[in-house]
Amino acid sequence: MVDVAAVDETFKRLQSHKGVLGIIVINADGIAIRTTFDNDLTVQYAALVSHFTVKARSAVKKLDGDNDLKFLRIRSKKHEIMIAPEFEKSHEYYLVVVQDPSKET
Amino acid sequence: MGDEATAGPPPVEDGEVPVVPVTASAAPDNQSGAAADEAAADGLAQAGDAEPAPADAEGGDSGDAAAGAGAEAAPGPAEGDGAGGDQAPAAGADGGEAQAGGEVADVAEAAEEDGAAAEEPAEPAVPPPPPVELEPLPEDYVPVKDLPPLPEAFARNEEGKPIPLPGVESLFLTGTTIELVGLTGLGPGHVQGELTREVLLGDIQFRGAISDFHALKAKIQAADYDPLLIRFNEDDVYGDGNNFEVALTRAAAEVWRGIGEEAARRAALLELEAAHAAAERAKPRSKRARKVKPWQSMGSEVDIEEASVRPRREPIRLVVQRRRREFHQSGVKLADKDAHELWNSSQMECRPFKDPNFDMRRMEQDVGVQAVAPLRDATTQSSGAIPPRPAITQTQPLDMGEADKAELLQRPRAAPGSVADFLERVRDQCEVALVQNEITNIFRDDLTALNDEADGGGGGSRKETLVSEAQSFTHLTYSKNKVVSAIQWLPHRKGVVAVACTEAQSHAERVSRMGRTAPAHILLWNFRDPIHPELVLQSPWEVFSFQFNPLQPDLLTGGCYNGQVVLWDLSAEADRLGRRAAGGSGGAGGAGVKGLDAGGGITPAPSVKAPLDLSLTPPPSAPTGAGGGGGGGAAAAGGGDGSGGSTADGDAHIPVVKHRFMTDTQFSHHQVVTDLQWLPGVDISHRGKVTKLGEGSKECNFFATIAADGKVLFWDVRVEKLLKKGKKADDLLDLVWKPIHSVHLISLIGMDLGGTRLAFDFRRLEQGMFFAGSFDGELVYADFIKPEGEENPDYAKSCLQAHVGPVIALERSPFFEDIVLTCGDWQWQLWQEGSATPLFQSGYAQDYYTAAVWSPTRPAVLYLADQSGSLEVWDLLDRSHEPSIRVTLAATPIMSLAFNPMPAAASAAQQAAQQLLAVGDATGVLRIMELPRNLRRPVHNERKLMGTWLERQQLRLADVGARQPARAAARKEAEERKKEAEAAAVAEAAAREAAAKDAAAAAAAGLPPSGADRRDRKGQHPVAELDEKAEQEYLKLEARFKAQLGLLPPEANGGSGGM
Repeated sequence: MVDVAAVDETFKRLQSHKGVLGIIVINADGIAIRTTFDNDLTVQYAALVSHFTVKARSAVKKLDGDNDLKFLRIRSKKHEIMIAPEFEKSHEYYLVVVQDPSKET
Repeated sequence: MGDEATAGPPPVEDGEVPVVPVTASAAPDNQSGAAADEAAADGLAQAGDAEPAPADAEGGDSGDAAAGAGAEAAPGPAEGDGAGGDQAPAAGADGGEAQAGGEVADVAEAAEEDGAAAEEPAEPAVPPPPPVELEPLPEDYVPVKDLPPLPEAFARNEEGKPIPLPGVESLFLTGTTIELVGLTGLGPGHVQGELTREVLLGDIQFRGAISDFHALKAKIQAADYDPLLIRFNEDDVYGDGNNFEVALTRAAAEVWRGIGEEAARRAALLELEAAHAAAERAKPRSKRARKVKPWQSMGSEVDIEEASVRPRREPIRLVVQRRRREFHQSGVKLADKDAHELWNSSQMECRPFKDPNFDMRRMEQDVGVQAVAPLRDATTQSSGAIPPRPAITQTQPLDMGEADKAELLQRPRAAPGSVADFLERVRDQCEVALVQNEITNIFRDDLTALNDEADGGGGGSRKETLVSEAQSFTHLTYSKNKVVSAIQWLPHRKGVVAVACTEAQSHAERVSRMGRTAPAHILLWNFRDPIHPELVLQSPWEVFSFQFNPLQPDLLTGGCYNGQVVLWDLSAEADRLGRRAAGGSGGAGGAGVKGLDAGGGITPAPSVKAPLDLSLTPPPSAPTGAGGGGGGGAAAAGGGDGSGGSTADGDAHIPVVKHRFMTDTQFSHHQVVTDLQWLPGVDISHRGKVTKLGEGSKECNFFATIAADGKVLFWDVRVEKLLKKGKKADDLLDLVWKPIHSVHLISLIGMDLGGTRLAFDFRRLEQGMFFAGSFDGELVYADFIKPEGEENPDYAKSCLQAHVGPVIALERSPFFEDIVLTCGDWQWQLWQEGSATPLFQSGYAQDYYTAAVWSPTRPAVLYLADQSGSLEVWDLLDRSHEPSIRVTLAATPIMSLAFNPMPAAASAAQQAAQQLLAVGDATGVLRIMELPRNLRRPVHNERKLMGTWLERQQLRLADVGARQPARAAARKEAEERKKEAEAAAVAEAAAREAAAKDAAAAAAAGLPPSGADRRDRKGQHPVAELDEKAEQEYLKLEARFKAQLGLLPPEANGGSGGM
């Protein structure tokens, strides 16, 4: 339970930032483990972002086999999608944070 | 003949032959000798030929020649020659006898003709041709026609007339006689016959005196030969009528016989010739005998003789010798050399050189090439083995159970796959990014900013700093020398501007020509065609203000000079224009009418008919006469009176569109409509109640107009709605387009407000507040919503004297909704809504302003046009006491300005990029100006800076306001002080005057020259004592200078020196 609290705490902390629209944690299969979006948006984000991330990572790795993707920021017209991936065999997760800094939370 | 040839030439002559031929002239002892030589030579030649038949006649000929020669030389030799001839040609005895027989004179006559020929060696004796067999003619054969004519068978007397030969008697023989004596065989062609003397004598004896021969009996008996030769005189040559003649002497008979023989010979020759000629003709041409002409001396042998060189002396002998040992000297060495070595060596005197004629060798080559695309047959067939595979076929998202998720989330720290751990690790990273985004503007376009900086720093090219004209439009018929009183860009089309053209006339002029129809036009200019307007909208009256419906851009309303408002519907035209742009161009006038018809098809029928019929009605005699009777009638008249179709001068293709509806005169304005504004997104009730339509509503059915009669009218454009209510479809005249709401404004002095401009706040239309400007320079802030329960409310909330002249511009700032720009006379002002004093007033300009607009993209920039044709650009952030840029665009006053509208969706940068300013002047020219980039693109934070500028102005205003009481008090005090001062000054002046008079009298005595002057001055300034002193000082100085410069006479100098 302590760990759940730790997760919650992290979520809260991230959400306290200005203009954060939502946070999702996705596992290697593209399944959202925890989300603050509604279901539909979560599924969309999970599917699209995990694909994109895999692609981005393969690009980085193909350029240099020793290199790896560390952090991904997608700046769009309306907001920014930040993806913090972790690619380890046993536990592969992506943390997705969507932020529109011009919007007050 | 053979005998003759061999025996003829005497041995002596034979010996002569080798000597003589070369030098014929060397030894011509005598003619006859020469002739004989010739004959001998001929004879030799003939002998060589071994020809057996030199004719007798030849002999005769040679005899002739000899006789001729003899006759010329001397008779003696002739005799001798004749004797020679007798000796030589044995066969020619007859000829010889004839010549010898004393017929010399006769023969000589014939010979004389040939005398020269006889002398010539070239006239040889003709060898007689073979008489019978067709032998080849001899080489030197002379044709019969070239022979001398036959000797005549008669003699001639001195006069040349023929007379019978001596011994010949002419006689006439009757037919009986001829029969009797047997002469019937004689006739033409056979002229000679013989009669024995016995026959003749017997005839005489038998017939006695009647015998034809009777007269000649004695002569016949005396005739020395027998039988007698008688000749047929066929031509009666003697002219005595006799037909026969008879030779009574032997000599005469011999002559006749000679002639007869010769004639016979020639006949035979002719025959032979003819035969030869026939044979020759029968031969092929190549085998025909060629005639070889005998050599004729023309004197060339003399030339040859002279030209030939002959040794005249013995040749000189010379012997040249060389010793044997001197041959083959040792210094000479001969050896073989290579050809090219020799050619290139210096010993070669004849060097090879290049002849340019043979330098370039041209070769012709005939080559034919044909390009043919290779054909290839190829087929493919898809196997169809691989079925299409979509990349993702998943239709349902994967998910895991809630429990699993919870398990993952709850997985303890340090355990593999702990989410908490993962979050822990990535959290900081995310937070950094989040904070970054918070403190910087992530949506800022760095590239644009970069561009801006470049602009600011670089200074830019000429195009980027200057206002330049992009295009200009004017039309000879429609706009030349007219005033462009209003400009509107088409809201939905790029590069199309509409301009309203009005006559440059004053109101008085207009009144004076009232009643005459003068259709006015609105021209639609497309950038593609600067010559012809795309469309011409016709209006019965001049249009001073018009606007396109911002949401239904095919609708367009215009306010006319007489206060009416007209409506055009371009929806049909728009289609047509689209088609025209695509290709074929339609007809002009008819198409316009058709277009209206088609446009009407969309709307209910009754309303359609109205405008259509109106436009087709011929113009009534009094277009303005409708007055109160039927407003619709007036409208109809107005509709009909426009000249049908388009104008001439090659503008036939410019479609002219007539208005569709027109407001009722009774309910319209009564003065010129000065401004017209559409009110989008609202619905206005009869009392002016405004209900806002839903967000994004595409309806815009209302517009407001203001006119000089003090009214602001609100109209509903859905005219059809009015018609439908109860009225029959064909009740056209009952179409009364009335305003739905009317607001009456009162000016400061209690009269109708002469409204010029309207300014609504489109963002807060429902509040009903608007600004209006007037001809008297007033700025009215009013509420158009009619309060409940009041029939004649005072709509104006405030009425302020803003300008001295008419307010020509009233515009809300596109960036600050409560800021309004007003412009009139020589000044422009900024007003804040609700404020009683202008926020900012410009200084007074040199020229009267005519138009003013805000920049649509730069909050701090505004554009003003003036009477002198200049455009002023005020950048309030740059300076506010004078325009930042002043450009003279035209020599004529600029009358209107308009920026092209921008789609709301476009970004600021896009808007700035496409910004164009349309400028209309007083001569009907529309100019499209390109603005420099720094005027189009806002500077960084411009809006904010402008906001602070405005705030500063507000503060200033507040400060001024706060100081107002103190100032007023101070002013009052100052005025009082001033009054006191004035009173004191007057008193002082009186005292001074008295003193000055005394002083003047004294001075006049001291200085006579300048006294008069000084008295004048005194008269002018009686109280200026100080001046008096200064004057004296000056005079002193002047005198001193003059003395120094020697300008004064000595005594005066002395005088002045004394002073």
